[in-house]
Parts: sequence; structure tokens; C-alpha cells
Amino acid sequence: MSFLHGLRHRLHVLFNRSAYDDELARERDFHLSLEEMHQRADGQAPPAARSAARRRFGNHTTHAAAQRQLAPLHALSQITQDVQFTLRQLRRAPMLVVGVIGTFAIGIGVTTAVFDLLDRTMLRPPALLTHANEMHRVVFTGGDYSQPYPGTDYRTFVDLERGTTSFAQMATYWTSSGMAIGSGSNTEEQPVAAFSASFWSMFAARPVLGRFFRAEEDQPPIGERVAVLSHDFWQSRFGGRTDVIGTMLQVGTTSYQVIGVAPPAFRALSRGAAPAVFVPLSTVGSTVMGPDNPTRWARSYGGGWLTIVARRKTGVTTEQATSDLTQAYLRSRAQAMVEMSRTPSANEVPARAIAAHMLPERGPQRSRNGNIVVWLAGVGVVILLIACANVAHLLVVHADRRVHEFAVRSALGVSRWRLVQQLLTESLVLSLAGGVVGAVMAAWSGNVLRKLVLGLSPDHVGLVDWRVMMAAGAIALAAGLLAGCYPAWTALTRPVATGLKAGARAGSRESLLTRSLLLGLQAALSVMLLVGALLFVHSMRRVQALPLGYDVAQLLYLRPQERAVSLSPDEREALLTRLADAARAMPGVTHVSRMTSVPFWNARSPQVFRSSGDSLPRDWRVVQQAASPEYFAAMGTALLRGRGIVDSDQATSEPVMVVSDSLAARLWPGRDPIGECLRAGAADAPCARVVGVAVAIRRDGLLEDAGNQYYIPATQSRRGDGGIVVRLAGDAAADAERVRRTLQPLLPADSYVTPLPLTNVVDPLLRSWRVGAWLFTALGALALVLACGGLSAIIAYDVTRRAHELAVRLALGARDQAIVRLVFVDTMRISVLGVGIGVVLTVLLAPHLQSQLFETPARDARAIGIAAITLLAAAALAAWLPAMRAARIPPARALREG
Amino acid sequence: MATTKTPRQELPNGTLEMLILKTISLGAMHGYGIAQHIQRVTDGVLSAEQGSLYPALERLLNKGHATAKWAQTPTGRQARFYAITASGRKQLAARVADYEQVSLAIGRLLEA
Repeated sequence: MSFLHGLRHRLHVLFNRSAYDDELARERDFHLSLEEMHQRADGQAPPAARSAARRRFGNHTTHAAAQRQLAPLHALSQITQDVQFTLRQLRRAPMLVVGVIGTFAIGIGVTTAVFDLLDRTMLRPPALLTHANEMHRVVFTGGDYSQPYPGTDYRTFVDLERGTTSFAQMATYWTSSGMAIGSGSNTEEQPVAAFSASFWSMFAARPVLGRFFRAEEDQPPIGERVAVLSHDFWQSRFGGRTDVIGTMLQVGTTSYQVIGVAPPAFRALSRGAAPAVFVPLSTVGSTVMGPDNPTRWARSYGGGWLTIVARRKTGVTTEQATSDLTQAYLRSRAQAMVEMSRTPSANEVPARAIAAHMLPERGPQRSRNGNIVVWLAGVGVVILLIACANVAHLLVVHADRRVHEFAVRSALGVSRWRLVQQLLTESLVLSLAGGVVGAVMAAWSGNVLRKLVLGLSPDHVGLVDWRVMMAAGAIALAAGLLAGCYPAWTALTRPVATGLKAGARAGSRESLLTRSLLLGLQAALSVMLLVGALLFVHSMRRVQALPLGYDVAQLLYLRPQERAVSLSPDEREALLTRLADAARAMPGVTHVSRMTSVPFWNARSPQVFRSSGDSLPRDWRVVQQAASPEYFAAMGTALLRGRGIVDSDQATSEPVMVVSDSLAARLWPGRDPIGECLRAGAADAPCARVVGVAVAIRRDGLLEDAGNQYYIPATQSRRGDGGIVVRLAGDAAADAERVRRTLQPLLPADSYVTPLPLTNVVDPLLRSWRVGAWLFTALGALALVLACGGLSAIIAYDVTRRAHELAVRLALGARDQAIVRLVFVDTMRISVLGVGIGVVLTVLLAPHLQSQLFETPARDARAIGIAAITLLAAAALAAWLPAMRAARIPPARALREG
Repeated sequence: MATTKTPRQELPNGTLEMLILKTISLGAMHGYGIAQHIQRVTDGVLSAEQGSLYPALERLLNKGHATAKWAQTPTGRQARFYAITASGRKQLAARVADYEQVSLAIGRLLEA
């Protein structure tokens, strides 16, 4: 109750300020009149009594003010007052305002956009996920995997689910980036997710319509064909109609009954495009693992198509969960070895199953993009620091101009704390304004960044996100305080007398020193960013210069997708031939060949055996490619010796083979491989004669050494396998649609053909390199601009401050050049110092960047040299203009005004 | 006033609020009345200077220990009357208890 009484009073004071002042005045009058009466009763004369009463009451104005100050909301009204005062002050300095807000906007904008990236990749748990802190992805290391790997098969999932006690819930998850949904002309490719029924209960999601699928509908090996639509897909495809429940929907090769619609925010674990349809895991197993044996996926080991998510029991630590998982995984692996009649290789790393963070970028196998995001976060902070240093300096200059004003005000009794409050208000007002501009910039650039780094298209994410906007606000606040501290500290520590005495010519020597430090700091940070930019650009060049062993831009891979029809291998073979012939007849198409193994796609190739029947060592990865006569010309892969595939290589003719030079060198070191014998598929397979040697290609990892390949004639390989590759005269991506339209009519029933430009396969691998180079260059340039702007401002100010001194020098006969030199040399000294510090810091910190670079030493002397020279040149330019201006000040005016 | 000859003592911090609360716990009173009451009862040894009286009253209003209301004095004039609230009485009891404890302790020390 007391709280309410108090609050009511405070609100009354706040909102009826003038009425309350009247009230206080009336109370005072009443008091004075009684006091006066009292004095008169004591025998004082009326005038004397009145003045005695006033004396006793004291200075009314002061304690009316004191009384008001007690109202706790007073602070609020004082802030309003300060803000109004600040706005009045700033209206008189539009250039300062533009400079400061612009600087803040860059700093806050960059930091906010980077925070957005960081948030999306590493902080924000998947939408609607409950118990996010107890949820894990299961990641495997050692054993079969050289890198931590999240994928597994259904048998292993079942083993882990039954063999562990640390988890309250376990579910498994599979996702496809595109499956054909619908039928006829209404077919569209959409992402699809399949998961265990228990997956639903890990999310705080209720169906907006109908229901989710249940455990009894998700029984391996063949579950009920029921589907839940995503909210977006329901809206876009069915216009949000409620009668969609119960209808049939074709997804891939299967027809599903729609049973429900998920809530808008639900996107399962997807971070890119949200899946359009969610189906029981048990309905996709046979599609994913091959239709030949529809129950094999649930029975046998092998294949890394599933992700396991698990909820740890409360009270179990992550370490305990990991060791529990590992024990179960080891038992499961032992069983798998028995069933697959395999023996673990001798030098195998012990296998582990780890309870990892839900977000893949949190480890243990963070991608290069993830690393770049972490680095960007650091760069964002550096840019923000540069911006703050810049603003602090601009504000100090602004405050220096008002030194006299401050001194007079403190002399008149305004407390220093009030002055500090005002200065902080000033920088906060500016930083919040900068924050608004920055947030708008971030919202815009955030989309660009998300597209660039995460590959998300803008329509996947809202423009404004409250987490990001909160972050922008917090960053703006922090920046305002950081930048405001220095001017405030100057105001606190400067003796009043100095301020009064120094009058118009303010700016003490030590504040100049501090400002030089600020500038040096900026120069140092800029050098570091520039070096980073150069290193990334160099790495990107090196990566782009890597020879792949084949062309990319002109190539298009086409593969028919069967729908509503099931072709026999022979029919498929005939279809591929028809497609190849039709493509060859198209204008602009130079070569067409069969292709079974697409670069950078996983390939399961038959093993090769030497003529003696020995298998190759298990760690030799060998990839088979089925090729037509035009293959090598189409791909642009060079033939080094012998011949390629020719028309006379037919199913009935002698088996032949072309091997990569890498494979040849390993199989027959120092010998001519032509004419040697190699068996593909089995030790007793017929001997294939090596007829040619092709250059080895990079098809597994971009940065891995070129692998081992062998090529067999398509006519001698499994019939109907793979697709065709088309080489166009121009850019394949631009012609993809034209080729698709020409070939589509050849396909039976609802089948369709999807064209895949090889650029789309290779580009994502290069993207993280390009993104790193791009962003570091852009941010390095921003930092340079900020640093030069700051430098230019401080020199201009310094010249103004020293106008008197310079004028005296000029009047005493100093030459123009001498003045220019004087100003210039002072500035360059600061810059050289800053650059020096930057170089030292770079040399110290650069090794941490090494893992992100490719064939580029982190302490690259050339990069450091270029960065230092660039910065010094920019500083010289920034110093030159004010120095020239200084020399042109008419001495008479400077002397008079100084 | 005869009592003005007695030397006035400075009030320890926070004591003024206690005195005011005690005073208005006897009944609603205006500011002048409160000052007079304190001075009269303590024979002028303690006095609430107006400079500190009104801010102290404002503090009590803010904390909700007192409420203020304009009302007529017996002589028919309008004055702002301060009345104690329930939380004010609680606060008064607590303050008095504190004060007694401290004063007892000081007394013991001085007698020791």
C-alpha cells in the first residue's frame, strides 16, 4: 500500500509539475504568514517580522528545487531536459552531428549485421525447440571417419537408442534439399524433412490444423504414408484451405495423405530453406537407400544418411552422455563389423559418439563459414572500437570548443556531475541516432551478408528481428558510453581556473596526447584489418587457381527423374541415349557424354583389383566414371597418353579402361601403364586393358590432392546408370533452362529432367573463400575510411588550435613550406607510431588466422608492407589538406582572432 | 520566543523523519504545526529548520509513509495537512526500536 501512496504522489508531481509548484508556493506562503504572525506576537514590527520569517525559511527557490529533486522520477525529467539541451547544442554543429552519426552508423551497422550472423549460426537454438540446453546432436569421430561426422544409419540409431540410459528421448532425422512435390504441371521442387515421430515432442509445436504423425505410424520398415505440411507451403500451395486434410499429395515417388499443418515458426532443424513437407522417417528409407530392397535400410548397417538428436536426462552431464553413447556405439560397431564381415583396419583411430551441441557450427566440425563468422565477429568489434575512438575524439574537440562555457558554468555552481551527465547524454543521443541509422543499414546489409555467408535468400528471414534490434540497441548504448567517457572524464578532471583562463584557446597538451593515442589505436586496428584483407584475398586467389582438371562454367549435368513410371535398366539406357542425341542436336552444344559420377558428389565406386587379384589398400579411394567417346573433350580433362574411349568400345568388345595419372603412378610406379590389366568390381572380374592415361582431377575436396580415377566405356558399365553431361559454347547456367525445355518432351509419364550447372556444385566450395576475401576487404576499406576521417579531423582541429602559434611563425617570416612541414610531420609521427603498433600486433596475432588461409603465410611480409604503406599514404593525404590550409591562414587574422 | 535562547542541537541523520512521523502519528498536521510541535515538545532543543523540514516531508510522501491533503485550519485558512499512513506507522515503530537500541548501547558505553 505504501508503494501505491508513494507512486501516486510521484506521478502527481511528474505530470502536474506547474500545479505542484503552485501547491508548494501556497504551502510556503501559509508557512510564512503563520511565522510572521508568530514573530509579530513576539512583538516584532510587521516589516521586521516578515523579513525574519523569510530569513528563517531560507532561500525558497533552492529548497523548492531541492524538494522537487527528491521526486524519484525527477531523474527522468532531468534526462528529458538534458536531451533537449543536447539537441539545441547539436543544432549548432550540423557537421559534427553528421560526422558522429555517420561514424556510429558504420560501427553499429557492421557490428549488428555481424551479430545477426553470429546469432543465426551459433547462438539461436532451432525455433520452438524445448529444453534446448539438454538437446544434442550425435556426432561420430574416429573409426570410419577422418573428420567428425554427424551421419549414421538406422541400425546404429536403434542400437544407440536401446544401448544408452542417459537420454530421455532420441529421434532421428533426414532432410532432402529438394524433392518433387505434386504431379503434372503442378510439380515443384521443395525441401522435405523426414523424422521419427518422437521428434515432434522435442518441440513446443501444436498443429494449426489436423494432427502430427504418431509413433504407430512410424514403424519401420514401411511406415504409414502420411504427411504434415509446413505453414508456408500450406499457404502458398493450398491458399490456407482447411479441406486440404485428407487429400493426397505426391512427394517424390510416393503418394502421401495430408494429415496436418505445422505452426508457422516450425522448420525442424533446418537453417536454410524451411522444409515444405514433414513425413515419417520410415516412409523414406526405401527411397533414400535404394528401392531394390525396400526393407534393407531398417535392417542393415551402412550409409550415413541420418542425423540423431537426443535429449539428455536431467542430472546427466554432457560428458557422461558422451561416454554412454560411445560405449553403445562401440558395441554397435562390433556388431556391424560382424554383419558386414569386415575387420577394422590396423591403424584405426578409436571410435567415439559425441553428444554435441545442437548447432553444427558450435562444433566439433565447424565449417569454414562458421570460422569466418567468428572472425567477422572480432572484426566487427574492431570496427566498433575504431568508430568509438573516432567519435570520442570528435566529441572531445566539440567539448574543447566549449571549455570556456563549461568553466563558467562550473564557476556558477553547476556540479561537475551535471556536466558529465550532459556530455554523456550528448554522446548517447548521437549513438542512439547512429544506432537507428546503423540498424537500418544492418537490416539491409544483413540480408546481403546472410545470402553471402549462409546462402539464405532474403525471403527466408524477416527484415527486422527483435533479437538483432535489441543487440543494435545494446551495442549503440555501449558505444555511446564508451565514446562519451573520454569527453566526460576531461570535463571532470579539468580545473575550473584553467578553463576560465585558457578562454577561447583551449585544448591542453595532455588531451592532445590522448587524442594521438586514439588515432594511433585507429591506425593500428586498421593495419590489422588491411593485413587480414590482403591475406584472405591472396588465399582466395590461390584456391581459385587450383587446377581442378576439368572445366566448370560450360558444363551442365542432366539426370532424368522417374515419376509415375518405373523404367527397366534397358529402358533407362535407351532414354539416356535419346536425351544425349537430342542434346547433341541443339545449337550451342559442343559435346555430350554419359556421366555417372558428378564432381564433389559422394560416389560409391566398385573397387579395382590388380591383375593378380590383389585388392588395393583400403585407404586408396578410387572413383569410377562411366564415359562416352566425347567425355574427355566435353569435360576438358586432358588425356596424357594413349587414347580415350572410342566408338568401337562396345559391350561385346574387349573391356578397356582409362586411368588417372595419379592411379597409374601408384599402381605401376616407373612403368608404362598402357596395356596393363585392371579388374573392376571383383577380383575375378574380366581383365580390363588400360588404353589411356588422363590427368588426375579434384573431385572429393577442393583442397585435397587430386584423387585416383578410372574411366570405363558407358557401354561396358551398368546399363541405365547416371545421367549425361553437356558442354555448351557459352555459360552453362544461362542455357540450362533452354536445354531442359528441349529435353523435357522426351521423358515418359510424369518424369522430368533437372539441369545442374557444374558451377552450382563448385561455387559453394569456393564461396567461403570468396566471402572471407570479400568481407575482409570491405571491412578493411571501411576501417581505412574511418581512420582517415578521424585523422583528417584531428589535424584540422589541431591546426585551428595552433592558428595563433602558426600565425606568429608566419609573421616572424616562416616560409609556407615550413608551416606545412611542421603540421605534416607532427601528423605523420602519430601515424607512423600507430602503424608501427599495428604491425607489431599483426605479427603477434596473425598465426591465429593461419588455419583460415590457404598457401599463404599469416605473417606475410608483403601483405604487412602493403597495408602499412597504404595506411601511411592515406594518412599523408588526410594530413596534407589541413596542412596546406594552415599555411594559407592570413597571419593578421589569426593573430587578431587567436 | 523564550525557547530560542536554548542552544539548538543538530539532528542526527534520519532522526528528523522519525520526529515528523511521531508528530503526525498524533493526528494530521500542517508543516508549520509540525515544526512548532517539535520545537515546543523538546523545549527548543531540537528544531526542524524549514530548509530541511519540507524536503523531509517530501521524502515521506515519496516513500508513501505519509499523505498530504489540503484542508481548512480551525481559523478557516487552507493548509496542506500531512497524515501518517499504515506503512508510516510501521516505519516509525522500526525507527524508534532502532533508536532505542542505539541509545541504550551508547548509554551503556558511557556508564561503563
